[in-house]
Amino acid sequence: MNARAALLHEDLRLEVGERKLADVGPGEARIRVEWAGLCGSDLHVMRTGAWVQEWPATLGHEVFGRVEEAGPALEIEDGTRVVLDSRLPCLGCEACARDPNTCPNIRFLGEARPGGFAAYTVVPGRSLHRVPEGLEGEDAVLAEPLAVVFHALNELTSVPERTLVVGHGPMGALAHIELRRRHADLPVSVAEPARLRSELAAALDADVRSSATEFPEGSFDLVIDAAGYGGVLGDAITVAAPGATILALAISDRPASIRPIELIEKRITLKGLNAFIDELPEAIDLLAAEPWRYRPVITDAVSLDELPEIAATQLAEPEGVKVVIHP
Amino acid sequence: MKTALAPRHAARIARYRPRRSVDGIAQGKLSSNETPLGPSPATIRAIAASAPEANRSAVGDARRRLLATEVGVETDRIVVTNGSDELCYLVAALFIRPAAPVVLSDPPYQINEIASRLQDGELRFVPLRNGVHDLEAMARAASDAAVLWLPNPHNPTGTAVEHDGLRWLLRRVPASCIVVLDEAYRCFVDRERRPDVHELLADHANLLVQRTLSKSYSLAGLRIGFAFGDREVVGAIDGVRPPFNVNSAALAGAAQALRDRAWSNYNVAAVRRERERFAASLQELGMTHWPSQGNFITVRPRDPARVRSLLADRGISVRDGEELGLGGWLRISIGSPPRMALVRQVLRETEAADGG
Repeated sequence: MNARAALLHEDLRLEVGERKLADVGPGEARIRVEWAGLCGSDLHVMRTGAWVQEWPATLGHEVFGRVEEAGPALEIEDGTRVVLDSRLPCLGCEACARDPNTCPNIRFLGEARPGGFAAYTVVPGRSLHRVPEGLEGEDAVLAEPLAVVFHALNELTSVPERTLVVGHGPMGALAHIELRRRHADLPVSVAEPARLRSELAAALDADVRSSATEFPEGSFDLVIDAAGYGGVLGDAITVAAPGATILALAISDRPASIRPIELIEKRITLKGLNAFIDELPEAIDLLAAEPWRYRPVITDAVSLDELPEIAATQLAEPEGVKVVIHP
Repeated sequence: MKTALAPRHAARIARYRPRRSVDGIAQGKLSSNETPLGPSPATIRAIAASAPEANRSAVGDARRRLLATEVGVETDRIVVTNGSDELCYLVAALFIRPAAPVVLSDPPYQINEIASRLQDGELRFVPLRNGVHDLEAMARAASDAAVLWLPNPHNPTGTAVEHDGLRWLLRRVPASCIVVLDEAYRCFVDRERRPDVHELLADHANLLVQRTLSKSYSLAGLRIGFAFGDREVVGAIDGVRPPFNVNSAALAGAAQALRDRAWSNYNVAAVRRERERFAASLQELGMTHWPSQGNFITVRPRDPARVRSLLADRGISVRDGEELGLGGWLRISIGSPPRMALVRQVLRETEAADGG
């Protein structure tokens, strides 16, 4: 069976065409994709070609859809509404034998196998998470990135007093909203130059400036890097207060220049975080309970044919916050 | 035989029939010109916090002062109502005597027509010209009118009249005719095209400017409208409105929403951005539509029934123009980006040169 899909070629050309879908194997399911979110890591792959195991790649790992066909040994009704767990543990290592969530060889949908920027995708049954009635697909598609945010914020061991979010794209905005949900009166500052993104930050009652360097040095006990530009870690360390935590969420392979002495003298904890472990069901539940809280981050929704153009914009000079695709 | 109890003129009034969402999918309700984003989180908290005082009747004086500050008039020049619609009924009740001439565009904003008919006024409909108020014809029709209703941008077309046009009209309408400038959609109008109502009010005591917190402040469900203008006109309305016409949850929500200006700004920016995207797509498809300055666009598809049906399949309801005096048209409110993507998809399917 063929499916219309976004095809990222090895020369990093992105086009929409047809791709042959894998047969639905035992324990697998074919999903008709209704919404797929464009993630910063998709943009990273489009920019670098990193992590792709087979060209052309069909990216997209934030997916809401319906089960179209369940393979042998998978008990789930056709039509079931699901979001996908983006992680593909190897299932062959010792860690997987204990808990696949801890697999050190983990790969991701869209990179290890064709993902959600397509009319259909075939995934392992263990990737499926049911979406409760009443939670719309266009809201549920935020479950995966929200789980990533949960995972990061769950790392905090104390309630921050003053937070700076650097970069108010999808991850920064979701982290901001989630922080405010957990601590309604927490002062949050945001560094973001793009207009719509900074307007959203202001709407959420943040003190917004166009760059992290515009904030006084040593101001924040929590700094979240959701921007990933070259100098961001250096800037984060500068504005961090003694004893602060810096959470690095943005995916970037740009060299970062820092002065370790600042890190040491200020006793800063710098944590890099990737994906999530078991937070996806919690994210689905929360989206079902309070979809209004997270909805404002979706600023762009386009068809599959429009993906190459909007991806180019997001790569060059991002305008919107979260882009979702309706294949 | 039972004696007819309902007044004959009221029985002739066509009812306003609000549309419902498809299968209860609120995000798909693109039929009532509501905004896709809800109130700000702080406003939601404020509304919830007002609940324990629900046993008390609410007095809205403080909110009246807030709104007066918001629009830049003295407190006694503003009246707060239970949604804009209540204001329409109050204006009609006060200023339209039976058989009094009333001017409104054709098609009109429905509530203006209903409120005028309820007073048994003599309705003078002035057909729109290319979807826009025909100000010359309206001025002529208003030579002895009691009230002239002027929604701007107009509903159901979304077209807007600019400052100079309004000034021209006001100079020609008799000073005894109340001109109700309904600016429900003002927040979505290009900034440079928004009329300077204060300048107009300075010269025209018969001008009453009507606004709402339903749109940019996302409080349509709480019903908060207001109007400002000449002290005497506003005072007359305020003097006869029901004493506790705006409820306590609405007043609490309004107070916080007015503080959350950045939320309102984002809400408006998001709607305008999506409106532009929708208009560009209509342009590309060569679809007939009115250039809208509101949070909706009214379009004329090849087959409106088919479009409505395909949209309903995707959980989307839109307003049939037939119900608004625009047979063959559909009025589509600007919804969330995902819902608008589905709308564009359906129209590509039905309207593309080789589609249908």
